[in-house]
Amino acid sequence: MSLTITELPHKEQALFRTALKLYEVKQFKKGLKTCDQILKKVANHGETLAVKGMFLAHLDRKKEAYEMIKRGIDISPASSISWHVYGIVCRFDENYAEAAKCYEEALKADSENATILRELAQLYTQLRQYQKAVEIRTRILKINPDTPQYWLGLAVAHQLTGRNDLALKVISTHEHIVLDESSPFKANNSNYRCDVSELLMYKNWVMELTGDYQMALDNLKEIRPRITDITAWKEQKAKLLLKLDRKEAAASAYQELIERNPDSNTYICGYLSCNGLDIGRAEDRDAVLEIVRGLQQQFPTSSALKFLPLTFCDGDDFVKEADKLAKYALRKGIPSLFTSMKTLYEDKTKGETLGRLVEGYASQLRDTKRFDDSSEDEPSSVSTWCTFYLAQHADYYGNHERALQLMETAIGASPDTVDLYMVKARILKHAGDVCGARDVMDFGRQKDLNDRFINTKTVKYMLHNNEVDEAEKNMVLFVRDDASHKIQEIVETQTIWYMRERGHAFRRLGDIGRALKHFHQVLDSFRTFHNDQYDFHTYSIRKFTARAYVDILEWEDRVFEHPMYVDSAVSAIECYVELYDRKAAGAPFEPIAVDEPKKPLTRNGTSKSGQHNLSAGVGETKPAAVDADPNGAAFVNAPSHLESALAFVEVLEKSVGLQAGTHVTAFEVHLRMKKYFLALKSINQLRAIEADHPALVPMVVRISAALDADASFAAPMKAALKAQLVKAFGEVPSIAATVADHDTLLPFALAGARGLVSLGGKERVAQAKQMAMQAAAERFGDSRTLENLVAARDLLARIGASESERLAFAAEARKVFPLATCF
Amino acid sequence: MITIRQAKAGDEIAMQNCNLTNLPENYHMKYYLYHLATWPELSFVAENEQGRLVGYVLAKMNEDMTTTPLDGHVTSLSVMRSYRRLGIAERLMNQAQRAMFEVFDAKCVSLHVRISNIAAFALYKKTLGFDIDHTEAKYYADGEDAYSMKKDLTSLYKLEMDSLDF
Repeated sequence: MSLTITELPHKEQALFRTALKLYEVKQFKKGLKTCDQILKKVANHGETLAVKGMFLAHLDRKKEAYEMIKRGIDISPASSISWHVYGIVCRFDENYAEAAKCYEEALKADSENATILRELAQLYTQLRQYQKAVEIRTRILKINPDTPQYWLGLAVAHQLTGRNDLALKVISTHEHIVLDESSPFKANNSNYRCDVSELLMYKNWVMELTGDYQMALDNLKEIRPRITDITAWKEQKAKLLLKLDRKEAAASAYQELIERNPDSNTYICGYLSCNGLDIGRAEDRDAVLEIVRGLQQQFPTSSALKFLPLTFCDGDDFVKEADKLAKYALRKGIPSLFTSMKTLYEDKTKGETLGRLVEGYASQLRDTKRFDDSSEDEPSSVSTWCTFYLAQHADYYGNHERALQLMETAIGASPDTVDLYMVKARILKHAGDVCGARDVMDFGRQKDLNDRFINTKTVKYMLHNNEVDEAEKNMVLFVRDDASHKIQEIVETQTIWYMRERGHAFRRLGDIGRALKHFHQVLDSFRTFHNDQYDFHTYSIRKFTARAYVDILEWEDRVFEHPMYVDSAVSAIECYVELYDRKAAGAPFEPIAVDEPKKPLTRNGTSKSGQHNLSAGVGETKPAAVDADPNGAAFVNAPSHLESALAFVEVLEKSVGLQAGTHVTAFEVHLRMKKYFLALKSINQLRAIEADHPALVPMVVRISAALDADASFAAPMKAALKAQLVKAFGEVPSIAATVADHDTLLPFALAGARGLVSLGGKERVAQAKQMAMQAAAERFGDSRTLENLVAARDLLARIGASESERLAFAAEARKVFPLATCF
Repeated sequence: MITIRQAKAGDEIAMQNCNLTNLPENYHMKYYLYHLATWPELSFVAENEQGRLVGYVLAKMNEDMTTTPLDGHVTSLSVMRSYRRLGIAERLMNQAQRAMFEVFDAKCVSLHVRISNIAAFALYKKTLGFDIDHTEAKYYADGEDAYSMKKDLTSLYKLEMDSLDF
């Protein structure tokens, strides 16, 4: 019945209002019963059906919920409440775009409803439709001009559309409501002082954004008595003075900031820029060094100042500063000394100088137990830290054997220092001894079982060695004891590093199902991170922390650029492509079954056939019943692997479109989906990023071959595409020729081989095999990285190289990496 | 060798990762965002030369209190093990403490530590200058007791006056 609420019988009206109240206090079961009571008396009451649907949605009866709501709307299409409810449920399902449409409908029947307007403003902000958010917030303000939440919300919305001038106007017009000490706002607010401070600092920032720095600076002076965030005020002062080119005053302001935090690179660099000097200009360096040395004297405990000179000095000055820092660090026993110095090694001279310097120390200490300028004997630990540095130095240059020798010496002198084992393990990893690396890391872990850091590293190294069960056993040692299900807890706490490493391990083991499952866990975590911002659209404005709020929005805009996301997305796409290829070749991948609990596990925790036991966790008696999809079957059995992959391709193209890898990956999906124009776009974008990228020519050859083979693709479009390719790449690009042209660069051989394999055919595959077999050849020099040789190994396995061929390759690879166990 | 600065939204994933790597008490991303959105001035991070986060302090004001002014409270503090001996914990705490005092008028700062966590207790007591205020029985979800430790801030910091002559 399309009765409005007020047209319901009196009793049912009251019940309806009760139902709404029950929703607010989250009593969904009771609310559902109340709705049913109404419907018994007034069957098919549109709005009650809709509200009932809302309760069903929160009780996880989603399908029924949507049906119910749609019925309700069909009956009362002009009902604001029904559309509002529909919007709420869409929002609950994170379908913000749909929710916004519903809210707009709801507004049609109730255009001044503050709740609907507020929630819609939130939705538009979430959707980044800032102009619409401005419109809605303007409407809210007309209804209620005094509440700070509303006018500050509008101001922020203006700022987000780039209208800082309008933002400023809104604040200036309404700020008296907050600033006036006799206003009711102060009386009810225990956080008054801070709210005022935040508001004023936000306003000042908006002034800065309009570009009128003088106005902002004058305002800054005015507001100081009411500011509590002194640091931000001082930072703003320094920044504005510098923008106004008042260098002397700015220098003084930065000096004050450095006094409060002498470890801030920002403050120190700010101070230096006030002196008209540029660290990058060689002529300025002496002057800069003098200033920095002055600052070092003023702030002797500053960590940042100790290192800064090394970044811009050279020659004798560099040696002097390096000597100062190195001796300080070696005497103190700072384990991260090499990690810091490593950033300088890009400059070959600096790297060599540092090596010579520390070698010098090592021999001085050996002969005399002192540095050349020591007043007394140095403790023996100093010598050990020297050796530790030199080991990492050797490792950096690929001298793994020497590095390990030095580590043995260091460990011999100090066998309980866990840092030594961690670095030794890392050196073994670089050398390709994945098993040895894991053993050493675990040995270090046993030295300090209370430390989660070394446990984390050990778990990681176990996963690198594909020991999924052993890694899990160690991982749960640090999951809180009272977690009802430890494995679930790892996912709940968003431990993305672990899920990603596990995904990679399963992939190496050939278990695409579980691999996909774990990559999806990472991807889902990031989706949660992105959706987390929703409540802050309201919360932050209420708290006046507008500056932090805008910072959160800007971060969320970039969240899918995070390397962890990109890696997991690329890996998931590659898995889906592999599933598609296998199915297309008639040998689809079958999800690997969950193991019998009693099955004995091999040393590294996996049974030979690759089946794995997802344990419930150490010490638990409950079976792993919580996991609804233990072997990732849901992903393997997705209706369309390519559609699943495409979803992630689109995110990557949007978030990391400037990275070459994105387009290499995207191409694989677009091509298989026969979206030739998109595939061409990938090629063009890759070429714009890196004109001589190893994957380019193979991609061009493959798309040409695909076009030729596709009889159903319209001839004129085919011709247009091919013309474009010819224009960019010439008539007959050849993989073999490209590889030959770059015959000292292994990535070209690998990309070429992969391209040939994709094109297929006995001859091409044989050619590819040839290329891969030669991966360890001398002519490839430094491009024979461990990663590249492992890729060659994997390619040979994929092509179906014979046992003797693989052994031959392995022997050659081991000439480059003698300690490697992975060939 | 490291730089210290205020935590921003872009640090949240790295802070969570540092926390998950080093400590068994972990939090959802939303909880980190909640700190940033409520007390943006109080959390700080340490970054190495490569721009990687190697330590953090996640701090707030203690809203469970019924009297004002509120105490500052350290939700979580952690430094990557490979970055010892650089005084990172002290540097982070110093910045956070001063902010608690200046921005929120805190007179002291508190934190909880498991009574069995000898290493953490030593850090707070000897290096960072905290004292045991009282023991809270069964504070942790697994039933373990906690020391509630406190440190007075009024003797450390003074309200700064700024010259407006510029």
